[in-house]
Amino acid sequence: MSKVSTIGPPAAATELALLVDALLPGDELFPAASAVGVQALLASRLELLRGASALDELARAIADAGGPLGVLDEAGRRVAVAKLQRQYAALFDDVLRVAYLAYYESAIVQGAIRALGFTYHAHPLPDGYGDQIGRFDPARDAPAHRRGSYVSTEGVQRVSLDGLSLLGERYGR
Amino acid sequence: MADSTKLEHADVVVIGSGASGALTSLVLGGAGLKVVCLEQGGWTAPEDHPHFAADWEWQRQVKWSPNNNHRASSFDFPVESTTSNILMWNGVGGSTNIYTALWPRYRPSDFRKGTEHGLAPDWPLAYEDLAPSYNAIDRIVGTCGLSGDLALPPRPDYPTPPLPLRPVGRRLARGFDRLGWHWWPMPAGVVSEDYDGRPACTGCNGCVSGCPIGAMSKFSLSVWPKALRAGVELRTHARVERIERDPSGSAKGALYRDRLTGAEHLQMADVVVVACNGVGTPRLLLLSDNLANSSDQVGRNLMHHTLAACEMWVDENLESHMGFVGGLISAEFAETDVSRGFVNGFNFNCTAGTHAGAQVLGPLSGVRAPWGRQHHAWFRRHFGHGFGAFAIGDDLPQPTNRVTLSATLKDADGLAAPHIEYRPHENDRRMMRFALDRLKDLATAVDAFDYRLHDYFSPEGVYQTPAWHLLGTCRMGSRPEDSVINRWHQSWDVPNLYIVDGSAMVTGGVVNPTATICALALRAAEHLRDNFRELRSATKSDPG
Repeated sequence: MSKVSTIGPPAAATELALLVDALLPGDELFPAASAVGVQALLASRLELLRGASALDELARAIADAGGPLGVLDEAGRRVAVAKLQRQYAALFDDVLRVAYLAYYESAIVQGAIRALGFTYHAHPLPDGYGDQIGRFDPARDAPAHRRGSYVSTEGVQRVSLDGLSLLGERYGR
Repeated sequence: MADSTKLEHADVVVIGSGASGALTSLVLGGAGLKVVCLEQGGWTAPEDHPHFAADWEWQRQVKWSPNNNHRASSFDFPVESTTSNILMWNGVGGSTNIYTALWPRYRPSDFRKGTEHGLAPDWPLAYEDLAPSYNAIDRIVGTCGLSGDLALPPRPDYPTPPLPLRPVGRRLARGFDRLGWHWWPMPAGVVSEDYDGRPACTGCNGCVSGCPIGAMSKFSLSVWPKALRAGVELRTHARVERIERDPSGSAKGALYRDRLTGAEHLQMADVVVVACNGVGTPRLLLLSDNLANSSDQVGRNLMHHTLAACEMWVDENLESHMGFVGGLISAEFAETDVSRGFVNGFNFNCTAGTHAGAQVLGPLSGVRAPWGRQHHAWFRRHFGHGFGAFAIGDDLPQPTNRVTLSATLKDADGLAAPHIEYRPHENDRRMMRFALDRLKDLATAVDAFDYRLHDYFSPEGVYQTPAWHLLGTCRMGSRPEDSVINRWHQSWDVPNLYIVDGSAMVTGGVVNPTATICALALRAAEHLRDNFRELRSATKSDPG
């Protein structure tokens, strides 16, 4: 069983919520990441990617970047997260990857995407987009150009490598 | 001690059930031969695919990752490399469980690079030798596309029409037209109409995790049912540890471990066919006391293709998250033109957009969408407006690009993992630099308001392409001195040993190789079938 962090579970949970909200704050249409539970998936998936000590590692990195986030105002949190990105690039990329994917798998966020006017399914199947994509229309979509050519087997001829000075080695051992 | 007493001698043992192994099994089993196919993984049922779950994009990062090392399943084997990002799937149907089935053919000149410039050998066969197999494979696999492309030799109509061009394809087509460059609807191993018991593509856009409905040809749904009906015995969870030889030097069978019981068995056969892909096949030969390697070419000449990519976004809402992942193909730069500063060429493979999660991760560029207050504005501007293009080119085979055995890393059964070294030739680097400039031209021609290029070089300067294409490591040739197999895929050293996967290829061409791998496997299997009486006891390989 992993330790949550040295700052205790409630504070650690708050830290994750503040972190994901710094990454994905809400606006008039899209909810903030913590409002759709991204921090919970971040906790479990980060451990899957980086091992049982991943949350401790993250807490230490945030502290090193100026955290904990809970003692900072919004502007201070942005500065700390930007520092986290610079100084712990690989860890931050895992955090961002997990947070983004968790966010966009939320049904509420997908509702926001639909509100933008898109037909958008939560997952590819079973519905697919067959009704939307239609069929190939030769009259409209077949190429009208007459471009394109190929060198036939008999037409292959030796090219000069004289101008390609670094390419002189023949194949083989 | 292996138990061989309970296993009936087979005519043919096929090692690997991916595309080439499936086709070989189908042809030989269909001829009434006793065929046993050994597969180290298991079946992947349609419902196992992530397409039906809310976390499907996340699953692509972990257990549905195409990277063995990321999946880290016991049915996979680890790969040791700091230079190659090897992608594959081990299980019934092989990597067709998770590929995207782009289905272009090689060009006639792809088979004649020795004649053309001498930095790679000629193939021991020509495009015309393979054309009938290409045509037959289209019918077996079920493909879609549009005939009449002047950039390739004439061909029959595809079994099904092209997939819809969609607003993305039309936008790209206008860009290509503006540049005066060739373009054509992408041929795909996908059925656009119901075909051969399979449903038409629904445009779900989940292609990068395979196709559980089988519209895209997943060989466990398209080919294997026919092979099993023909009487082929497919043994899953059967990991081959080595190919055994008899005192005469002929292959006598495959020693394998049943991964469910732990028991070892020796499946004996008159003919052994290896179909383990361009990494697994040389690994197995090397594990088998350097089998079939008097040429010292086993494992060498690994090719992945050159790759450069561009994601681009336009003002028009294209609803680009819908539809098949492939769009258009362009052969404008496919043939050698030394005035560009390199030999060989490349194609453009143009792709649709993605769903939201993948979109903000930068599916082609790896550039993440911005975080913070600007994220949602970025999303509104970019989502549904984006698409991409890969420039995929013919990398030169080099003996130093190589699969060997790791000295330290083992798979779950204690077998040495493959170690891989791959570095692009200076010619390949020149090609990729040229291709990046042409991708910029394309982004400009489609009036992209934003684009991102990707050259697949790490900050340390290491080229780490997503290596789906595992080619050349047991290449065919005209002479046993510098090749592993002859034009019929028969080992020069071990006449009853055949290699039918991508490792047989001499050059990589400018396109995705699956159609060619399948055509080659079909041709080899039909030759073996038609001459089986003589070939099962051959003591010398056919030089012709």
